[in-house]
Amino acid sequence: MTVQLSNVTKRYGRDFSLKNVSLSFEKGKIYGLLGPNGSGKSTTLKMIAGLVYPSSGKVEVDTEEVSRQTCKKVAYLTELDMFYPSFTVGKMIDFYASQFEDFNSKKAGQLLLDMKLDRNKKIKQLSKGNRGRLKLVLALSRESPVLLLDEPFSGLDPMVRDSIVKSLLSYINFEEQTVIIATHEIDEIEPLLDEAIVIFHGDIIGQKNVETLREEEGLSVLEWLKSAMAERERIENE
Amino acid sequence: MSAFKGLLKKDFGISKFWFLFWLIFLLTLLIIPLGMEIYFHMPLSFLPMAVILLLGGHVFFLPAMLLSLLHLEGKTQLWLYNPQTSKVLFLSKITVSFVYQVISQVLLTGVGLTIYQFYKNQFFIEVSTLFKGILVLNAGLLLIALYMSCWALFYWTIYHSLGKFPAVKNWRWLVVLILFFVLNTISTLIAKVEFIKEIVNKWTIPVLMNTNFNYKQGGWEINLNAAEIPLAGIIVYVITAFCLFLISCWLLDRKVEV
Repeated sequence: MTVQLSNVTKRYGRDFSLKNVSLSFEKGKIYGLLGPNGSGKSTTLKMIAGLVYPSSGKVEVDTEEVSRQTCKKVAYLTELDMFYPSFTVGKMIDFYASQFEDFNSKKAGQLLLDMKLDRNKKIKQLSKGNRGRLKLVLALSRESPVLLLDEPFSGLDPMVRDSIVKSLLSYINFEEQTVIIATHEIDEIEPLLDEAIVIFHGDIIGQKNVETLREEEGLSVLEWLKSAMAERERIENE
Repeated sequence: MSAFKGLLKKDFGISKFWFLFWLIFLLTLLIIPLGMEIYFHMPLSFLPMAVILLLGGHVFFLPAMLLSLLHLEGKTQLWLYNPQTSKVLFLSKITVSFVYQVISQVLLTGVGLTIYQFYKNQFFIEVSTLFKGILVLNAGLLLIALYMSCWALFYWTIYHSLGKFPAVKNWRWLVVLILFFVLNTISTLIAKVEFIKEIVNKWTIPVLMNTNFNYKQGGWEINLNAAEIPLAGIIVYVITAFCLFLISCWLLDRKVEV
C-alpha cells in the first residue's frame, strides 16, 4: 500500500506548516521523517492519518484521498497523551479492539507481556515510560498496512527506548507494512531505517536511501541530517 | 463487542464518577429542604417545590453532561482517530447522557411519588391525572433536553472548527456568542410574523402539563391543566434538531482537526 502526498501545503493563518510537499511512501519500507521540532513532521503524519486536512494539494493512502475513515488502514502512535486516565491498561486495549477491525488482541496480549505491562493497572498510575510502551502496544497490535509513529521516544529513558526498538523489530511486518517514524532523535532508529527524509521549516530538503548514504557517502543519517540542515540555513541566510 | 457498544462502554467509563457526584449533589439539594421542613415544623412546604424545580432544571442536564464529555475529548481531539462515523461518535455520547438523565429523572420522580404516598390525603388531585402529568412532564423534559443538546453540539463543533484559524482562535467564544444572539434574534423575528403564527397555531395537541401550585392550609394544591401544544412547532423543532445534528457531524468530519 502506498502513501502519496502531492503538492501538499498546510497553512495556519500566515504560518506554513508544510510548503508544497510531494512525497511517496512504498510498501515494505521503513521511513524516517527527520527534522527539528516544529519542522512539520507531526502535521505530515496527522495528514496521512486523516486527522488534519491540507490547505491545498492531495494526500492519498492506497490511491484513496485521505478522510477520517482512513484510520481503518493507518495505525497511528501520537506524541500526545491519548489515554483516559481512569481506564485500566486492559480497558484501553479492549476499547481499541472494539473500534479497529484489524486489532489483534492476541498480539496485544503478547506485547503486554514483552513490555511488562499489567492489564489491571490504572493508566493514571503508569509512569511516562510505561505510557509510551502502552501507546506502542496499541499501535503495533493493529495489522494495518500503514504504521505511523510520531516521536515514539519522546521523553523516554534509554532503557525504554531500547525496549521500543526491540518491539519494533519483533512486531513490524517488514514485507507488508509501510512504516513512517517521525523523530528528531535519530540514534535509536537509524539501524531500522530504509529511507531518511529531512523536513525543515515545512520543506523537504533531502531524501536518501540509508544504505546508499552509509556505503557510498560514508555518512551516518545524523551526519547527513546535520549537513543538510546547515546547507539549508546557509541558503536561507544568503 | 460491537464498535458502538465499545464506544458506550468508554463513554460510561469516563463519565460514571461525574454522574455519581451529580447524584450526591442532587441528594444534598433534597436533604436541605427536608431538613428545613423538619426544623420549621412545616411538612410539605419546601421539598415538593425542590423536587419540581430540580426536575425542571433537567432540561439543562443532558446538554451539560454532553458538553462535559465533549470537553474531555476536545482537549486533544484524538477521539477522532476512530473509524466510526461522526454520527456514531456523537450518538454514543448523547445515549450515555440520555441514560443518566432518565435515571436522574426517575429518581426525582420516585422522591416525588414517595412524598405523595406519605401525604396523599393532603393532595387534591386525581391519581390518574397525576400519573398522566408525571409522564408528560418527564417525556417533555427529555425531548427538550435532547433538542437543547443538538444546539450544544452545534455550538461546540463551531467553536472547535474555528480552532484552526489563528486569527480567531482566541476569540472564537465571542464568535459563538455572536452567532447565538444572531440565530436567536432571527428565530424570534420569524416567530413574530403573523402568517407564521397562524400556521403554527392551526393544529394543536392538548396535553396535561400546565401545572399550578398553591399552598393552602398546610398543604399543596396542584392543578394540572390542559395546555395546547402547536403541532407545527414540534415539527419545526424536530427538523431543526435533526439539521443541527447533521451540520455538527459534517463539521466534525471536515473542519475539526487534531
